[in-house]
Amino acid sequence: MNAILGNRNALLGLVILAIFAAMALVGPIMVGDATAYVGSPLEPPSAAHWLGTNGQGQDVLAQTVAGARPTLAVGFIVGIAVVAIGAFIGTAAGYFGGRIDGALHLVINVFLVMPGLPLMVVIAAYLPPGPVTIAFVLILTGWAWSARVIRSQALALRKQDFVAASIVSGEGHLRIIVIEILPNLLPLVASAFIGATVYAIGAQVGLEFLGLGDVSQITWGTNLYWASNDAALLTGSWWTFVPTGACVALVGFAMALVNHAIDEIGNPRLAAQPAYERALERAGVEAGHATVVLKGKR
Amino acid sequence: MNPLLSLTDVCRTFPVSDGFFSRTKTLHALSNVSLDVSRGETIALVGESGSGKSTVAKIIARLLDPTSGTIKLGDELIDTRRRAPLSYRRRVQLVFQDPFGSLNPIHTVAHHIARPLLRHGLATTEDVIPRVHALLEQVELNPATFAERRPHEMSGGQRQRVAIARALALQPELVVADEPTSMLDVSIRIGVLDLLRSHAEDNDTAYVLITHDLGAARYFAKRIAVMYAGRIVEEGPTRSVLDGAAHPYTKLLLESLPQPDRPLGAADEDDDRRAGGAPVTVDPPPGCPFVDRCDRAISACREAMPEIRRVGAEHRVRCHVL
Amino acid sequence: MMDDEPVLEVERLSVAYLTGRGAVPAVDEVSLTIAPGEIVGLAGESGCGKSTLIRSILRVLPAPGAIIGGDVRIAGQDVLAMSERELQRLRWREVSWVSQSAMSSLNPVMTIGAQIEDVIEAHEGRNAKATTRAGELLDLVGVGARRLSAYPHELSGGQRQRVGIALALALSPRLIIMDEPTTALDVVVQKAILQRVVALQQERGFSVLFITHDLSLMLQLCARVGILYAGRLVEMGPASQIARAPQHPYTRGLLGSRLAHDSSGGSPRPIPGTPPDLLHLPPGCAFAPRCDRAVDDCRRSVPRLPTTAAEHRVACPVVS
Repeated sequence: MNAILGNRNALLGLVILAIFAAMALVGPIMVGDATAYVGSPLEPPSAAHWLGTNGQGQDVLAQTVAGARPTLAVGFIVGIAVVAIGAFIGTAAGYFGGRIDGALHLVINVFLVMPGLPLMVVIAAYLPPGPVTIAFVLILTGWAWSARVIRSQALALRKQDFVAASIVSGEGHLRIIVIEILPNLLPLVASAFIGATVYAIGAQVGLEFLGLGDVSQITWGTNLYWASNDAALLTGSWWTFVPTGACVALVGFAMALVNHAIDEIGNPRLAAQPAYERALERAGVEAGHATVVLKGKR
Repeated sequence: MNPLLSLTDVCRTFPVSDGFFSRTKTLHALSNVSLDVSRGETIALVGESGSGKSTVAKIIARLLDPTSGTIKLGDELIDTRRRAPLSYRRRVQLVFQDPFGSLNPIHTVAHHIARPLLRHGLATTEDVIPRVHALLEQVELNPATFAERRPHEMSGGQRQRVAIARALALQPELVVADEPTSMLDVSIRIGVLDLLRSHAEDNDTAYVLITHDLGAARYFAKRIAVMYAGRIVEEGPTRSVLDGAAHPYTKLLLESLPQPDRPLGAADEDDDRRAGGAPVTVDPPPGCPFVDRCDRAISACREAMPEIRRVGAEHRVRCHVL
Repeated sequence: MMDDEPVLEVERLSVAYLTGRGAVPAVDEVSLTIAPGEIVGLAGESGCGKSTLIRSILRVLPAPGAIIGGDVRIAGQDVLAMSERELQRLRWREVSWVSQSAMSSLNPVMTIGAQIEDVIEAHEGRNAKATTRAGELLDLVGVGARRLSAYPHELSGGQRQRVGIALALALSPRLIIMDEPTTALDVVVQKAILQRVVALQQERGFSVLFITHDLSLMLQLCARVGILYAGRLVEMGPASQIARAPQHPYTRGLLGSRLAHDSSGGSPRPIPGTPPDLLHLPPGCAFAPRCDRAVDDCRRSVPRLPTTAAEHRVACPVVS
């Protein structure tokens, strides 16, 4: 954790995420009722409405802030569920190997080859619309990816001598999986969680934009759905979709920063890179394939 | 007196297939290996890579089951189809070759040594720490410095000592050490071997040292068994085998060791033939696996596997030509 | 170029890894000269800088490694001033490299013949004789021209390492750098391959820089040897003299800690203490903390090999 906090990029990412978390938690109280009709439709940004109004005459700022909570909540819940299922199935398959792995790997592969997007659209259209449906669809189509990543890593760890050493010490299966193997997978699990969350937020916004969510709710996805419905592009009222789009992009950006920091911690080579690059910069030398020569330049 | 551990005609095969449509072949990793280890005895199993010596280590440590043959520990015949019971784990321990892989990078030294003690009920969470410290002192590591360290904060030699402390924690009757020094620097190898040797002597613990280093075998073990292509080809007291090698393979091995005082000559065809061709262990032909590399092979060597013959009091060789 | 001009001159070469925790000095002012036709060995334990040194000489040391001082000349050409294009011309033609894993650096989907031809044609253009020459090279290293169309996986580890040596010989370079070329092989195979190298060297007269952690092997193979400790050369001299009368306490310790397989050796003894931590080297001699003969002088300044013309030189204030 200290290593993450010590990394400038990761810190920036965490700060952005904290701002969005605060927005999701207390934002709605600050901006008031987002469903209220406060002005005429499609007013451009003004002192009264900083981000203008949408096609219904509702305040865009209030709608954007109010959309954060359901969107991020679904994102995080899906991220946690996807990684929990993936970690459980992936480590079990990787550790036990043999027939258990064969069966689990088959299931994982079946879910991986199912075309995710059409399946999401079909199921989301079939079930009653709403955040629960969206979360269910995303977990169903997303878990296999994280299970596959975690399984391959667990397979590699299974071959490590420290696992064999635990068996020779007489440790049981569950203990070896939970105490010896899983903690080694934490960076990967964290990174898979971030990937799954970003995917969940993006896919959820996409589904809702297509009108497959509950359009009476205020989320980032429905904001975009309404903007499109109200012909925002045709009328040039950019303020109705840019704020929501920027929020989605910013959350994704912040998570990518944190993800990169986790990679660095897991991979010391990446962490060493900045010191090396600073030294080259100071010496005015460019890196190539050949070993750099910093003679008399330090 | 019965030996502590007794392997009789242990075989291990692995199926190999080199393509979807081709017939599945059989790799004979171990063939008819019989080995007795007495209480407190030190024995070295030597051979080149692929000779099957590490497979023996895994089978004794019950990380791998034999395809056929029996294992007896004391008077007890081991059921190799079942998971090893805790009692077997307590009596037989394994030291791994790679001290970078055999310790879990996320756990402390104390965790590694405490776990077997707790698992086997030899200590409780209250009194385990002093036991861990005593074990660290036994392997000549300062407990105050090392107990809370993680593997990446230690050198290879220090890690191997931790791995040894973990194995010794259970006070096993038999320790299998699989190339315990091959990943370590030359200057610290003896320190680790000395540690194992004095433990063997002080506690009457039996040791099976797996190694490709004949020097280490001579230094450590009273008895030596030379393996080739999954079989023991020569076995006897260390001095008798190394100073009076009888099997042509053992002789070749000894001749090939680097000797600083004798310059390397240029190679001739014979050298290349002797060095060539690893033995065939996948669906091997009948006869002695060393025959193609042997200078003294006769026609019988191609026809039948030689029986084990006695050449000295305790010295046995598997060769037709003696 | 003059015939007696050294094929390799390394002068006070220093190399460091620029990491987040500080610059790790991996090679510290190492000087080394190899004459035409000479086999020179360098030995040391892990972290002594032997691999870093040769990768720096070839300028293939990856980031965050950087050469921070000194000079390297191969066949009289300044390697440290070369562009990448010039380096490419230099490699294979003037100097080639057989690594510990030469066997795994072969392309698995190309026949070994095609790979040798590739190296020849990359430097000499399309060449009708390339196939013949590839066959001759395989004969030379004892693999045999009939294996030209074999794929790497069809060869044993020893055979593949021989192919690696054939590749290294392809353009008749003046210098071949061998980095633990036989460590992954069994002793019987190791001996045969090295005997082959000796025969080829006698026939063709190239120079060899041989890197190993196996002191016995190096003393047997090389005419002149150097011992590295913590990135510094501590002793350099004729192999016969170092085998008989090692001077530096570390060399003595290394030789004294070998386990003999016959009854020749006395009782071996380990070197006390732990291997050096390059990030926290003591001032003065890096070996002083493990040395039973260290005096105050050893802890003050770093002892270097004397720059005299003497054949056998030691970087130790106590013994020299």
